Amino acid sequence: MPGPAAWFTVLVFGFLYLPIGMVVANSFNADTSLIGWGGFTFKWYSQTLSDPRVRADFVTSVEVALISTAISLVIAVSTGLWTRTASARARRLVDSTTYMRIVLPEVVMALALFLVLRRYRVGLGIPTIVAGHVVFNSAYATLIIQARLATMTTTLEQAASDLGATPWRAFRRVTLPLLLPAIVVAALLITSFSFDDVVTSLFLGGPNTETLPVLLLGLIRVNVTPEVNAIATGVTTITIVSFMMAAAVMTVRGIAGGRQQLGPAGEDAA
Amino acid sequence: MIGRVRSARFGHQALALPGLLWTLAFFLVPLAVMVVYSFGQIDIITFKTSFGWTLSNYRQLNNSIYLQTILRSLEMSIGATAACLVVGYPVAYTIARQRGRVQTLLLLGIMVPFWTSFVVRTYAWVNLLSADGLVTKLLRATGLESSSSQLIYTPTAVVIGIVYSYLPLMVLPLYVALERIDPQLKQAASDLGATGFGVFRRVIFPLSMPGVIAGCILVGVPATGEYVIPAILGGDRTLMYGNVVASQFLLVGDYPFGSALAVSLMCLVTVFLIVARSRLARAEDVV
Amino acid sequence: MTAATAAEGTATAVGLVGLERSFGEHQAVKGIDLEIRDGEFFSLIGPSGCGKTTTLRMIAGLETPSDGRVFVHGRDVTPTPAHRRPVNTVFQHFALFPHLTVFENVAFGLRERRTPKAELRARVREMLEQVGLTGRERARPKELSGGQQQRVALARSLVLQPEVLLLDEPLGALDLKLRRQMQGVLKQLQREIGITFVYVTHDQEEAFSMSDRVGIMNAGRLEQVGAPRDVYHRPQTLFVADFVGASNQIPATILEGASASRLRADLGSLGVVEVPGAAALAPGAAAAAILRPESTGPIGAGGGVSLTGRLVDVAYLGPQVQYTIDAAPAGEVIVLQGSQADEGGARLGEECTFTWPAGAIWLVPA
Repeated sequence: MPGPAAWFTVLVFGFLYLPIGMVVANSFNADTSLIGWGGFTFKWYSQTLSDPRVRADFVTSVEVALISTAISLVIAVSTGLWTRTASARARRLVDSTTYMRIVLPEVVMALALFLVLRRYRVGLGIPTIVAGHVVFNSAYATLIIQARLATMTTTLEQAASDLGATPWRAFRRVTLPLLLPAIVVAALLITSFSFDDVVTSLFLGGPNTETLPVLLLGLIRVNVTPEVNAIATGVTTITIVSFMMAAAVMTVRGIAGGRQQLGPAGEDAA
Repeated sequence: MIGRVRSARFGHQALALPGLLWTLAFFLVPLAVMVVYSFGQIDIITFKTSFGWTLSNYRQLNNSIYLQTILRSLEMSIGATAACLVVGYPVAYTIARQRGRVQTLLLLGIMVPFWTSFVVRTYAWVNLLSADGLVTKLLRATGLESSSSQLIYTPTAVVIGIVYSYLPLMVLPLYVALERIDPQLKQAASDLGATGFGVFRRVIFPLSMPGVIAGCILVGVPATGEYVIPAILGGDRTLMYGNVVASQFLLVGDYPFGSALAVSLMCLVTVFLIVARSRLARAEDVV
Repeated sequence: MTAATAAEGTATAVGLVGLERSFGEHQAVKGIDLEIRDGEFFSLIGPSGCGKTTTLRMIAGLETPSDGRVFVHGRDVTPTPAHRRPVNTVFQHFALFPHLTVFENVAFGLRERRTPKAELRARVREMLEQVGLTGRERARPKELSGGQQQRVALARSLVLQPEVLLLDEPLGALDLKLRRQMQGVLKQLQREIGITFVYVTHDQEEAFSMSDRVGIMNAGRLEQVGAPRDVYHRPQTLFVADFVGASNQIPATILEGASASRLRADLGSLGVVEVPGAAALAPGAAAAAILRPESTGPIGAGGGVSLTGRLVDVAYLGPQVQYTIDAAPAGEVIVLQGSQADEGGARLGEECTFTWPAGAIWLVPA
C-alpha cells in the first residue's frame, strides 16, 4: 500500500522527466511558436544538421572531448599507479589536490586560468579549453582508476617481474589488461563531462572557438528558436548514451567490486 | 645502494609527474596568481594592474551593491539546498524501502535525468516558465501567480533550475544512508511506544544524518558557484556569485577586484567544506 | 664465511653475505650469512615475522637489501633487478594472472624471452604434463581448484629452468590432506628435476619432511642451519630447541665446559650430569638441559636424570599418550609414550617417575 512518500516520489519522477521530455517532443513539433502541437516533423533536425555553425561546433566539441580525455587518462593511470605504492603522507597530499580539483567551483578554476593566460598573452582556443578540461577531468578519472587499483595488489606485477618482464612489460601484459574496464568507464564519463561543459569552454575558448554547449547557451539567451530543441535533444542524446555505456561496462565487468582473485584465500599477506 | 635499482625507483617516482605538473601549471599556479592579483589595483584609465599589497578590493567588496548580490545568491544556494533536501528525502526514503528489481529501476530512473546535458536540463525550464509556459499557466490557474507576470528571470526560477539539476546528487547519498539503517531499529522504536512520525523524528532522521550532510555538500558547494543556471533562467536581473565574478573578468576587465571576489568565493567554499566535513565525521561516528 | 668463499664455491647455489633489511626503524633481517648447496632442498623456517619471507624476496630480487650481498652460483646478483635474475618464485597465493589461460600463464616467462612458437608450445605442454595438468590449457585460474592452481604456479616457474626455485609458503592456502599430498609431489619433483629449492614455511614438520637441510630464523637472525636430524637432536639455542619440537627445559649451571662434547652441569636437585651440548661453556654459565618428551629410557652406565612427580594430566593422542607430571622444582614435565590398546599405566594424581639416560640429554646455553 503506497504511502504519501511513494506518491510524492511518483510526482517527483514526473517533475524530473517532464521538462526534458518536452524538449525532446518539441524538437519534432512543427508548430514554430510551440504553443500547441503542430504535427510531427524532422525539419528542425535537417536544418540543424545542415547548419555550418552547428557542424563546426560539433567537431570542435568532439576534438576537445577526445584530446582532453586522452590526456586525462594518461594522468589518471600514472597518478593511480604511483599512489598505490606511495607513502601515506605523499598519498594524502596528492589525493587532496585531486579532491580540490573536483570540489572547487568551476568558475573560479576557469577564471584563474583565464587570468594567467591573459597575463602572458596566450591566445585562447582549443588548447586552452583542453587545458582547463583536463584539470577536473583528470581528477574524476584518477578517482575511478584508484578505486579499481585498490582491488589489485602489486603481487601480480611482482610475479610478472619474477618471470622476466621488465616494469614496462609487466604494466602492458598484466596491469593494463586488468585496468581496462576502469579505463573504459572513466573515458566514457569524462568524455561526456567534457562534451557537456559550458563554463570552462566559454571562458577559455576566446572569440574564435565555440563548442556546442556554448553555442546552445548563446542561442538560449538571445533568441529561442525551434532549432534549439533539436540541438538540445542531439546533445543530450550523446551524453545519455555515453553514461549508459559506462553504466553497462560497470555492471558487466564489476569495476570496483570483486577482489582480485589471487588464489584460494585471495588475500595477500607478505 | 645499487645504480640500476635506484634508476628503477626514479622511473617509478616519475609516474607522479604528469599529474603533478599539470595540476601545478594549470590549477595551483593560476590560483596563486589570482590571490596575488586580488591584492593589486587597477588603473581605471590605462587598465594596467599595479601590484601593491592592498586590501582595497576586499573592502570594496564589503561595501558595495555586489555584497547585496552575493548575499542574495548565497540565500538562493541555501534555499535550493534546503528544497533539494525536502524534495529528495521522501524519494530516497521510498527507494530505500524497495527491494531488488524495483529498487534498481528507481535508482536508474533517478540517474538518467542526471545523464542528460546540463545546459539542456536548464534550458528545459525556459519554455515551461516563460509567459505562456506550462508551469506558469498552471500556477496562474491555481492562483499562485498573477496573470501578468512570468516566472522566468526570477530568483524562484533559478532555485527551481538548481533543484532540478542537482536533485539526484541529494537523493543518492540520502538513499545510501537510509539503506544502511538496520530495520530492527525501527521495530525496536515502535516496540517502545513510538508512533510513525516519532520513529522517523527520533530514530530514522538522526541516523540518516551522514547522508543529509553529504547531500548538502554535494548540492550546496556547486550551487554556490553556479553560472549556467542563473545565466539561462535568471536573465540580467538575477545574478549569482558566479556570474558576478565572471563579469568582472570578461566584461569589466577589473582583474584585481574580480580576483578578490573569486578568492572570497574560494574561502567561503573552503570554510563551508571544513565545517561540513567535521559535522559529517561526527555524524558518521554516531552511526 | 667470507665473500670469497661464497663467490668461489660453485657447489653453492645461493650465497648470502651479511644480508640486512630494515623498514624504517624496524630491522626485519639482521645480518644473514648462508650457503645453500646446489641441488638441495633447503627450508627457511621460523615464526611469523622472523624475516624468512623478506630474506626469500631478497634472493628473488623483489626486495632490495639495506646491506649485504646475494650470490647465485658464484655471481653477485645484488645489483641485478628481479626480472633478470636466474631465479623464479612460487608465491604464497600463487599470483596466477586471472585474465590469462593456464597455457598463457605457464608460457608467460617464455614469451618474455621471445622463445620461438614451436619450442614454446612444446615446453609448456611438457611442463603441464609433468605437473599433471594436461587438458586444462584453456581453463582460467578461477575455474581451477587450489591444488591445481598450485601446480600451474609451479609449472610457470619451472618451465623457465631457473637455477634456483624459491617457494614462499606455497602450501599455506591448502587444506591439511592436500598439503600432505603436495609435500610429496614437491619433494619428488625436486628430486627428478634436480634444481635447488629454497622453501619458506612456519610449519616445522612440513619443512623437516621435505628438506635436506633447514635454517631456523628468529627475529631477523639465522639461529641454526643443519640437517633436520641435527637440528632436532642437537639444537644450538633454546629457541631452536623449542621451535623444532616440544622440549622439557631444566635449568642448569655449568661446572666444567671446556669441551662441547662433554659438559659437566649441575641440575640442582636432579644431580650432576656429564652430557654433550651446543658449545663449550664457561664454568658458572647458565644453561638448560633439554629433555625430549619421547626420549625417556632406563638410566645406564653413563648416568642420567630421574624425575618424579604427581601425574596431573593424561592425554590420549592416538599413536601416543601424553603424560604431564608436576615435578617440582623442575616444573611441569611432558612425556610421550607409545599407546596400548588396554588402558594401563599410571592414574591421575599418582606419583610417577620418568628417567632420561645421559644420551638423551642435551645442554643449551640459557
